[in-house]
Amino acid sequence: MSDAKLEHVPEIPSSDSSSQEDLRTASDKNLLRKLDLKLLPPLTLLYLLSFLDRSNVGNARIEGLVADLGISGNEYLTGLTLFFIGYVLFEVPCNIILKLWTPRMWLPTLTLAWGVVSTLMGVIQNKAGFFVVRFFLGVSESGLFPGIVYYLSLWYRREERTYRISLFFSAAALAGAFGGILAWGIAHMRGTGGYNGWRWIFILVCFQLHLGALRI
Amino acid sequence: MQEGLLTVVVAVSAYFFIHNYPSTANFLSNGERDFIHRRLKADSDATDDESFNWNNVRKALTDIKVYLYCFGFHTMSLPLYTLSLFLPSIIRDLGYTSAQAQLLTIPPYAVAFITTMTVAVISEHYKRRAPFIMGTSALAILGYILLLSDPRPGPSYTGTFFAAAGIYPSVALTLAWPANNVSGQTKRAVANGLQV
Repeated sequence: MSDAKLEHVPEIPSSDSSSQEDLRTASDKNLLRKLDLKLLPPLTLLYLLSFLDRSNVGNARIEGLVADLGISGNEYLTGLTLFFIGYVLFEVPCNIILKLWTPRMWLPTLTLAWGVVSTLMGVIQNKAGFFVVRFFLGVSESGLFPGIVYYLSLWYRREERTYRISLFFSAAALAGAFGGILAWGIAHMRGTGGYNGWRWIFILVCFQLHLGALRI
Repeated sequence: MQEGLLTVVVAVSAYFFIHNYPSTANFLSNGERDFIHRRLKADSDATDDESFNWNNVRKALTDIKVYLYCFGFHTMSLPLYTLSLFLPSIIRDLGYTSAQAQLLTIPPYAVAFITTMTVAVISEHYKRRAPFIMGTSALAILGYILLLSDPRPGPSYTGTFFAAAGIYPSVALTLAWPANNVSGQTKRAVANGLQV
């Protein structure tokens, strides 16, 4: 879209006016599309990962997590609850940090933090470890959703935001499907290839994602 | 664990692909930046320099609608998380092996993804939320009833489809609701904080 084209854009009416739809120009729609393509895919990816990392404990449960660590059904539930306690306590502080720092620094830092925490989930040896890791997973994941909602408010108008929030939330459902595929793969390979092959596949997948990200 | 490693790598690359603010984004021309600012300014209160004051916090805390949003969200996130955290266990308990159960969690989620996208698009088109939330919640309720009432694998597995296909779009719309309807930055921030 050229700058010249934008000079002809009429004054933008207030959002309450009923004639707003009529006055919405083609350049307005083009710009929205451009923002959607640039902003939504990375945010959706981060949200997908956050949901994947918080719900894969459900997949791990039937792959022997509960038996190996010797935790009872109630203790498993306690671990799940600790996640939400960490989550609720740190939502507001996280959004304050987001405002002080910048989205570009803060959202990936959060992602890095919960990535490390959920990797540690793979090396826990006992019940206490399970509780601690679940709590800190809640802490590190708490800032993402409120952060994204605030972030979108810097780019979109109110009524446009609702739609985008609904759209990126669909990543939560997608994460469930991915979690199932990954868990099935790991469970399926256990007897034949072991973990190593899978580690490499993840590294390759990550590498591609990384390259794709740099192209953006 | 591997999924955690995946997250770490994406996080590192995310430093490169998250843009900060419209005023600094390098994919926009100056005209477009200016345009975004003007659009946001025209949008009621988003760019007003609203200073923080406790009166606005009090307004959020005393508004019955804010509590209704919270109530709506909490009553929906509970079934959402029980489903996402227990679906593999539920399916395994129907008599499948762990590996089969993992695989069988995929179709309900795939359907949920499609219904969430579809309902988001349709409700955006009609600019209505409530009728869609009611419809998808009803679908979810049907699914949970099936799960509760019939222990046979067939009906139960069908129940997981209805439950997932209904609860994900319900939560998606409910979450987006107050961001749209509560006016005033501070009041909205408090309302969103309370809700989530």
